[in-house]
Amino acid sequence: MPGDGSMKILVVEDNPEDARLVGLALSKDESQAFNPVITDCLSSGLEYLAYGGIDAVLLDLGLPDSDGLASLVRVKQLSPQVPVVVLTGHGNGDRAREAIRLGAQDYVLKGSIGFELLSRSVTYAVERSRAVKDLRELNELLERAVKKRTAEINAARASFNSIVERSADAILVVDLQGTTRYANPAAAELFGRPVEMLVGEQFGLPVVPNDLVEVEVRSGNGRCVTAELRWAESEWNDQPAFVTTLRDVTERKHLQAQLVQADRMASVGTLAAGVAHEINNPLSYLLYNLQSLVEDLPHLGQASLDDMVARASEAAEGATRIRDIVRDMKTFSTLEEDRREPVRLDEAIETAATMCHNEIRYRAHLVKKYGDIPPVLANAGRLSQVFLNLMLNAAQAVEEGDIDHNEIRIDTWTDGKDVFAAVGDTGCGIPVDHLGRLFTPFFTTKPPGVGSGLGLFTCHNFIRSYGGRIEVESEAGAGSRFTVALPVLPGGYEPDAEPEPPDEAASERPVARGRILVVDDEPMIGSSMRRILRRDHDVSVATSGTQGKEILEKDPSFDLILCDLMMPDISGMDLHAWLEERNPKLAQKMVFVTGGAFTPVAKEFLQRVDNLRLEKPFDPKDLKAIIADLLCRVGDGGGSKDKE
Amino acid sequence: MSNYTLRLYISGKTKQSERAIADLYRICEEEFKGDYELAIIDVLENPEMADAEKIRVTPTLIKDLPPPIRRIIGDLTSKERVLIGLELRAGEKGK
Repeated sequence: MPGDGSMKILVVEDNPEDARLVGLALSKDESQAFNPVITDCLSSGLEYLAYGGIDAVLLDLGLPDSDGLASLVRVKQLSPQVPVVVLTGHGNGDRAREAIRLGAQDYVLKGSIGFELLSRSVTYAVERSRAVKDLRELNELLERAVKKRTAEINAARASFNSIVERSADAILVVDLQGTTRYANPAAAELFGRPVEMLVGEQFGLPVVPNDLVEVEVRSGNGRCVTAELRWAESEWNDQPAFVTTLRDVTERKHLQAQLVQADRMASVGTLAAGVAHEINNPLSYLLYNLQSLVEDLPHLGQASLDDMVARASEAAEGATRIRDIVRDMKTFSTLEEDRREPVRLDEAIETAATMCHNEIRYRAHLVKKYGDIPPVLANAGRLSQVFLNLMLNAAQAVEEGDIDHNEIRIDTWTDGKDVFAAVGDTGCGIPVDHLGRLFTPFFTTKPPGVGSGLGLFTCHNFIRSYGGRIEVESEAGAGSRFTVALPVLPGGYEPDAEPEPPDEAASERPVARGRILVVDDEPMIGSSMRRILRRDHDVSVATSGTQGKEILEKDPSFDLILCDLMMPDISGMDLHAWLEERNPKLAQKMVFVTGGAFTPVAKEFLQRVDNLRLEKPFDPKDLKAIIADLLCRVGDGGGSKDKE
Repeated sequence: MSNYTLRLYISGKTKQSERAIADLYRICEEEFKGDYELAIIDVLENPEMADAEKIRVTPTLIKDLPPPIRRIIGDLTSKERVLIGLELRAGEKGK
């Protein structure tokens, strides 16, 4: 369209009179300026059209070089966008309608050409065509925008999908009925089942939403994998759902166990010195007294008998102390097996206190105030380790030296629901920004090599595994206080029948003389047992498994065989196996004497056999009473495992 | 016929299993006072039972009675939470 707003109209009309009338009609319109270009044949009309700039075509359907609708078709073919108004003679209404069908905007019957009608028809045709063009352009614009946006959304979805699909963690989406709605490839791999199998099946719901638990996963081949399962509240297809993430932690747990073990070894190492010190004192006077006893005894007439007894008693007291220390150390050796039993917190604290006595004594005085507390369900060794860690930390928090002023204070109490034990110190306190990280693994303020940063983490894990918690309060410069809370053992607590203290009278009571064989590769044990028992029984001693076997081959008529379990040549287990084949009755008469430290094989053996067992060390009176008791039982043919 | 019927699926005699069993017995005794049936199913010993129920992880606890059947996975230490999870006690929904 020219810049002046006029419309350039191509008039294709071979009748000069009609052409004149059309020109006249267009020029008369005052509201719209027209610039008509008149030609008398289609071929030149098409040339104009091809040249461009035409706003509309007025087309006669009766031209010399082309007739009827064919003209229209050719115009439309050449310029589909340019609107065409056809001119046709009277009585050709059908043809005119056919022209509309073929794409003409309008038709004008020649006889009725009026100025207004013609110019209006052309104007409308042009405007309509422009509107259609604008609309088409807008449409294209919109389509392009939609295409672009869709591509963006698809790309975002694809990258999101690829994150979830490629995640190493197994991811499930579980709806509120507990049914799996989605599973990623890692889930398929973890469970050893294709995604299609997992989706739609019942998985389950969390005990607690947003929970983190450790579970065993059944992977396809019957193998079990330990995994950390995390529940998170989310949405799936606009419905509330849970996203469940499972991470294989088998390897990590393995590593962690190794680290905890290493940490324990480190703390055992630092304690060994203290324990050696603890043992050394009583051991010195035990040895001194025994040696002096040996020296003085030949001159019995000169020394008073009372003094002898006093020295011997002191020696015995020293030995008892060593026994207690060794027993406490043994408690720590059971750490690995988390066997739970009713434990009293004060007993666990006492064990820990013995172990770290040497660490504390030069730094602070230890105040213990035990309340009347019920037992909790836990592993004694692990609980002791918790308190050992807390007490060692407390000891390290106070300055060395002023032991009257420095205090480590232990309190226990209960509120009926939980049992509490607090370990407080008057040390340096913990900076506020450290408080939140105390229980995270590898957090330590100690120099490298002193602390691994696993102590409190381990404590926290142990206590949490018993349904308890550890809390800490601290004030910089004034000290810290760690409080352990553990649930009271539900349903009350029946203490295990304590092994009856061997009553004095019983050991003095006359018992039937028995024939006893002692087999122990430690000759001193054999000879001392013979010494203790020979007044009441006939005792033979073998100092090796081989020798024991030889004796039994010749003489199987023993009432009781007290046999060491671990011996270098033929072990107690070998001897038992040999007897079981040869003389099963005699095999039943074996009593295993153990030092408390077992190999896995020995452990398995003791669980398997019914034979009675005795734990070293024992005191002579106890031994006599136990032997008397055993002789009765073996005589009855009854065995029980509970006599340890 | 007991009013409460539960099945606990575990994997072997591990510490976790023992703890789950002990926790569950404690909850049952305290809450149902003997009026319950509790089946402990070791998926290692009875894989076909676990397959039939499509047990993918342990411990999984299923409550058959009273209806509705509920199936929960997680730590059974807290009685309150377990009872809410089993819909035997009203809890804050979605919390």
